[in-house]
Amino acid sequence: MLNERIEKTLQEHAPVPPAGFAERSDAQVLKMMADQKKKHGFSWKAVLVCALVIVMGITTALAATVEDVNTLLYKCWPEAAEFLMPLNVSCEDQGIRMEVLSAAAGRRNALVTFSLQDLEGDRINEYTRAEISLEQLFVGFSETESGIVQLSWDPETKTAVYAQDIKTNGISMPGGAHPTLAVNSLYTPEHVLVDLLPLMKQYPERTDTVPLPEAAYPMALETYSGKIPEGMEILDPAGSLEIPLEEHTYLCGYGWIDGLLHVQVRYDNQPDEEGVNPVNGHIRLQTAAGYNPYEQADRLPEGVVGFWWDENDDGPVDREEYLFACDPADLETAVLQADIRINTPDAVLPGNWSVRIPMRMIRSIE
Amino acid sequence: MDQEKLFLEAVRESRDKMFRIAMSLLHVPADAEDAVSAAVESTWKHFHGIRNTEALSAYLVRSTVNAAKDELRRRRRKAPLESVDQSPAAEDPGDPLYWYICGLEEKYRLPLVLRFQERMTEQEIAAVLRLPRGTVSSRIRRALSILKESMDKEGSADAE
Repeated sequence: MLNERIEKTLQEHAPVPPAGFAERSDAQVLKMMADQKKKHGFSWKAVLVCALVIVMGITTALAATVEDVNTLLYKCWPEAAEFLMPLNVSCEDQGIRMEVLSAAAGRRNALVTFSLQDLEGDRINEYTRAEISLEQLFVGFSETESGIVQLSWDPETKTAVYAQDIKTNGISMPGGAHPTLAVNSLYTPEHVLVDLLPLMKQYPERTDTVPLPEAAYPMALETYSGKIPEGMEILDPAGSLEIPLEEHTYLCGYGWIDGLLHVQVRYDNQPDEEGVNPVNGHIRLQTAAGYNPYEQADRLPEGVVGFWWDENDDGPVDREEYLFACDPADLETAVLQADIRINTPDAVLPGNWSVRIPMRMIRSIE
Repeated sequence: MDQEKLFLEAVRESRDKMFRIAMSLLHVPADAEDAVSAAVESTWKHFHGIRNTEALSAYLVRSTVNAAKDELRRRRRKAPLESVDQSPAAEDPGDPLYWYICGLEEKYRLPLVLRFQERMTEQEIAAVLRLPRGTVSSRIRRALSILKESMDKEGSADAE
């Protein structure tokens, strides 16, 4: 009854667009089509992906300096890296020091590198994620994209280095302004890494498949076409091997479907009231030649690298199936790991790390 | 279908819905229209990566939510100490249920509006808001619980 009342009330009060709205909208679309220009500029995310790929290949930790950081980025994108200016602006809160290492900004995008060092404890590690905001650098925007990646982790100095990119459709503030980089919280869940190949060698590969469930959502690259691959098949959940990997996490099986390696996992835990699983994970592959899904985009259908779905209809993710564009021979010398993240309330550390950066110190790339 | 026609058609089919969704966040028609315009522009920029009408419509709606939230953040930075009451409920005090709906926190109000005003499924809402479906479901349930409580109190007050 209440549902019906709510629907009726909302329908009755549904806002009506103002006069001329449709005509203005048409005019905007037609003008955009007429003004269409070739895209220029660099792909910031490609830079960060490259940096991540390089970091994944580094087996020894870096005592990161500005030069080390810029070296990492220079390997991917020399034109951007040469504009990064060392800043060395820092602050400290709760015994954790944040230092802005370098920055560069254009009219619509910015790249900032910064470090976080734990001076008193072990609250940061290679899995720590930082929730950050970069305020008052841009005005006039209505859409932003941003990405952050940890470039390096040094366990000796307990220092993690990050790169944050921001792209907007606005313009940058004029010189003399003071953008503020703030880290609002740190998130360091427990991690368990499980090597899957030794387990997989004990069990046969599976060939039982079923059509992709309708409720499945794709995990996809930026090249994702927006549509689910036609005729997609997955390993049959009913035939799960139920190999325990960690509490509440099971390997259901692996197999080759249409030339791709499929690996399926299941999570079995009680979600909190926000519908978040205490345990979730990610499967990653590293081959002798290096595995980068972006380089395999033509083999990954529609840019999809996996699927997740809630088969119990109780909210959170129950099952994931990962797709890898590799060949059986590649697995002989590969590392296939389940990176299982255990989310606990004390994994989040709120804080007040905030520095103002004089705009004149940020080098413009235009 | 020609790609430009596809895009224009998708915008024409979705824009009223985009406007309504933006209004549920912004409550000011001019700002809602700006959010729709920003969403259309953003979607056009990413159009090459979207291959069918359904995905395009979902992208337009999602971009509208993002643009409206960006405007809300701008408003908070401009006037953090001001209390700007732009709720439309004041214009229609005769409908307490609508008043209570407008008073819900955004994280509960938006999924509720998408579910009952726009008649989207929980799965569609999850895709637009980029939330797990369970979170969408629990937030709608919570919104209904809050509204029921409010309406029950209203009923008790009337009885008194």
